[in-house]
Amino acid sequence: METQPYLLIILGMCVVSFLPRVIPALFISKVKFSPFLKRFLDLIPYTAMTALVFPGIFYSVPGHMDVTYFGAGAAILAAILKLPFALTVTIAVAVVLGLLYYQLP
Amino acid sequence: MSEKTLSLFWLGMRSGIPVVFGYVPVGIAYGVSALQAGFSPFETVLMSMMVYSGSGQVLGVSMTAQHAGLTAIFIATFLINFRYFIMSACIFSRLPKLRSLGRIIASWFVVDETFAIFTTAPENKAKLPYLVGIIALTYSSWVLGAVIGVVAHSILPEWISAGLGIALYALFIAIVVPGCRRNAKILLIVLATAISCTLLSLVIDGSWAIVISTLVWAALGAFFIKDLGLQDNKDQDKQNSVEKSPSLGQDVE
Repeated sequence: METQPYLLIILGMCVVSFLPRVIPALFISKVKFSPFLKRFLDLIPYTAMTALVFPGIFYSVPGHMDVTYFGAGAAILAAILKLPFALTVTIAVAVVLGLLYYQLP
Repeated sequence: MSEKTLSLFWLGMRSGIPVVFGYVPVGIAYGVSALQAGFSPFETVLMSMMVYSGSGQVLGVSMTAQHAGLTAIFIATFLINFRYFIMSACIFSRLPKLRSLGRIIASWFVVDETFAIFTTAPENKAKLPYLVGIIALTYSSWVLGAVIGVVAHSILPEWISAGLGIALYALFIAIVVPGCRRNAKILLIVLATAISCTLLSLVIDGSWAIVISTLVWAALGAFFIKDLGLQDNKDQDKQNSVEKSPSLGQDVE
């Protein structure tokens, strides 16, 4: 395999990941938010995490989209039933691994 | 260290426990794929320590495996991590007294889960020691996950590593659903976001679909819904507000 400049990749990714974190921490937070902006920022966790999950979750198990439907369904059901976070995650993983095992040739 | 500081720190750690169950499996899955992409065991763990971004690392590692150029890798990582800009702004707006050096250090650890737990915690809890508690546990579990992944690479069959990919997404679902249960308007926004992001990703790049649907639906929601009923109202006494709006990260146990 052709080698890549691995340490350089890590360093560059470190910089581009740190910049969006540190800039608002130093400068934006001194600004007082308007009520609209406050509501906007309160909603961001919900919209951001939802957008991260859908459709990303369907591609989370490479080559097995069908299995992810059941994993997602199990996680949503567990969350609706107010199960603890850790149990919800465990159930979703267990469903996916169970189905993958069942599908093994 | 005062007793209150210490108890807030432990509270933060406790809030971080469920994240560990999401991070360790995902960290393992990342570790395995980083090794497959050609990173050494040392570099694999180093990336978890220096980048500390699940989606960013998974993206970077898969692009490296496909021999993408450095510029492309950096631009894609920046794009997928740009959401930290907003998250960091939210977190540090709740810590107005924190000084610059503290901000620089703490901002290194801003991730989705830290953000979700901290910004939805009631006002009386959302202090620096609480944040440090969350970070201490979640960061170390992320790095530990990569270490286990490196070790497990030779042990785990490939289908198990693949199946672990769903863990982080299940965690996000577990975080979002309680808010939807409490408030039908939130549920509406969440459904709209899920549908629009899924449809949008069919026509434009996935990371842009995430950024656009996140921003658009949060803006529409903020514009049309005046009473979110999410954060505690400052006029209420604290005890009351704590009972009325348990944080997203607290529905454990």
